[in-house]
Amino acid sequence: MWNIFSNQLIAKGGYKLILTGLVSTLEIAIAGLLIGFVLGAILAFIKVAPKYKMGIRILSRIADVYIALFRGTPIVVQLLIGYFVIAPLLGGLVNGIAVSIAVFGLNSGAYMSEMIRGGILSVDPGQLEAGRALGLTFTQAMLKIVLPQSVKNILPSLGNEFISLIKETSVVSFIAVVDLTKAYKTMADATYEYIVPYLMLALTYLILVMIVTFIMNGIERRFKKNER
Amino acid sequence: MKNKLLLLALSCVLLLTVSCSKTAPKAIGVQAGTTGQYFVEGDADWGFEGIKGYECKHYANAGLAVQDLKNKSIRYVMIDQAPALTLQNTIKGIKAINIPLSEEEYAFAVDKSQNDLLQKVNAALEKIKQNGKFDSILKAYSTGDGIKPVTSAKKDLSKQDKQLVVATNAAFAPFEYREGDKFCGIDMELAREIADELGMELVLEDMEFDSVVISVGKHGVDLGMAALTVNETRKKSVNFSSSYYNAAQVLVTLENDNTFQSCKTASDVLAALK
Repeated sequence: MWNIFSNQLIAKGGYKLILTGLVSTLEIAIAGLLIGFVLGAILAFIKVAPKYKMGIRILSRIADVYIALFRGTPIVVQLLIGYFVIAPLLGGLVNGIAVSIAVFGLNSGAYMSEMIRGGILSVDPGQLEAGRALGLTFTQAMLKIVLPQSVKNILPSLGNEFISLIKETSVVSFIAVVDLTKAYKTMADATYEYIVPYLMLALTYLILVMIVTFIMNGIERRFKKNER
Repeated sequence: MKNKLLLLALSCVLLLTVSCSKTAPKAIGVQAGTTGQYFVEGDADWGFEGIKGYECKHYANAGLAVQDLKNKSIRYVMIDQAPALTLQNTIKGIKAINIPLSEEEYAFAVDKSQNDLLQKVNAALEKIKQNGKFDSILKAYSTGDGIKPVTSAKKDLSKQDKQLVVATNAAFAPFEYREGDKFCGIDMELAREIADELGMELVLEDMEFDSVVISVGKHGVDLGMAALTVNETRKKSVNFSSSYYNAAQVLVTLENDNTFQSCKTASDVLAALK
């Protein structure tokens, strides 16, 4: 069993496909994380802002609709609609990876907005009050005082979301993107030998996630330096 | 404590004996979206009555269906003739009942919005048939000698008119399958020859079978080559080139399954299924 797989892998150049898949998976996960973080931060900000201005109230409602939409549908459905329905309507010629990054970014943004909002709310409200009392506007106080302190509380959830993203990218083969899962499945289909490729696929994801966990632990340790 | 262990051991033995002797349920496995699926389920557009009394189980490709066949989760697999024979030769413990159950023609799906592409593809196909390359490709795959793997170029959306983008489902030997990172198969080598004739760069996109037909015409995909059977429903979304292969559906069973031993024609097989 193993030699059939290693034949495909090495002799017939299968490792090139796996490398392509790995690069695609990481591309989509990292880009999705960054877009999601920026979007999530904007949404969280809208939701914690004081609601005495009409503009904020409208934006807050829009944010709620957006979050409900992207949390309420499965990611596969969002990918299929993005690639087969929305992309042709918007002109038609998009790359599968671009659509995946957009969908994962939007989806991640919806979940991250709640995480970041939780992080912001966990900072002592006295910090914001002190900032306002010193004459800073709400936005300035948020950006310069509260947000930097909230990062420490957001970090564990951020790491979790990154790991989640890496694993969620395994479904992009539905829209013709070759990711890690599709690469291994292709090799399995070529030889009709499924056991070894599927187990190797699981092992690869495990190693990836362990590396990410290690990095996140390092970052958290660095942030903890101000504690006793 | 001893009683509990004894009970556990007994139930394990019972489960083992039950699973070893189980007969597969009345289900036929197919690849999702293929002619075989409509043959088993029955479809007015395709003109199939369906096989009564059997549940139709969908799989991403024939290889996975055969895995379930070996696990006795399904009783038979219905797939096209050439892939069935390839599966029989590659996987141990199964056999193909080589009696054609339908009559089909394969053709390439061509983007409806590109008017001249259909004529160009048909002209290229005609030329390939006449200069002998077509026959040599078919021969290579029936004997196993002379297979030339095809490399796909990288898709570049800015070079649309210089690239021939072909959607396929590379899990259907001998028509299309992968060897490492290259593509092999009758359809794939024909794609390479047609791209050469048209003077374009060949880009091959591998995707799920039921996405192939809907992808033609979107995202720069020009052709769909996946051993596609010509039929009226598909003609609503794509044009079809001239046909290049006559095919049929056949059944794949376990090696020691003698249900169809004495069958000679399609009606014998269908009668044995009742």
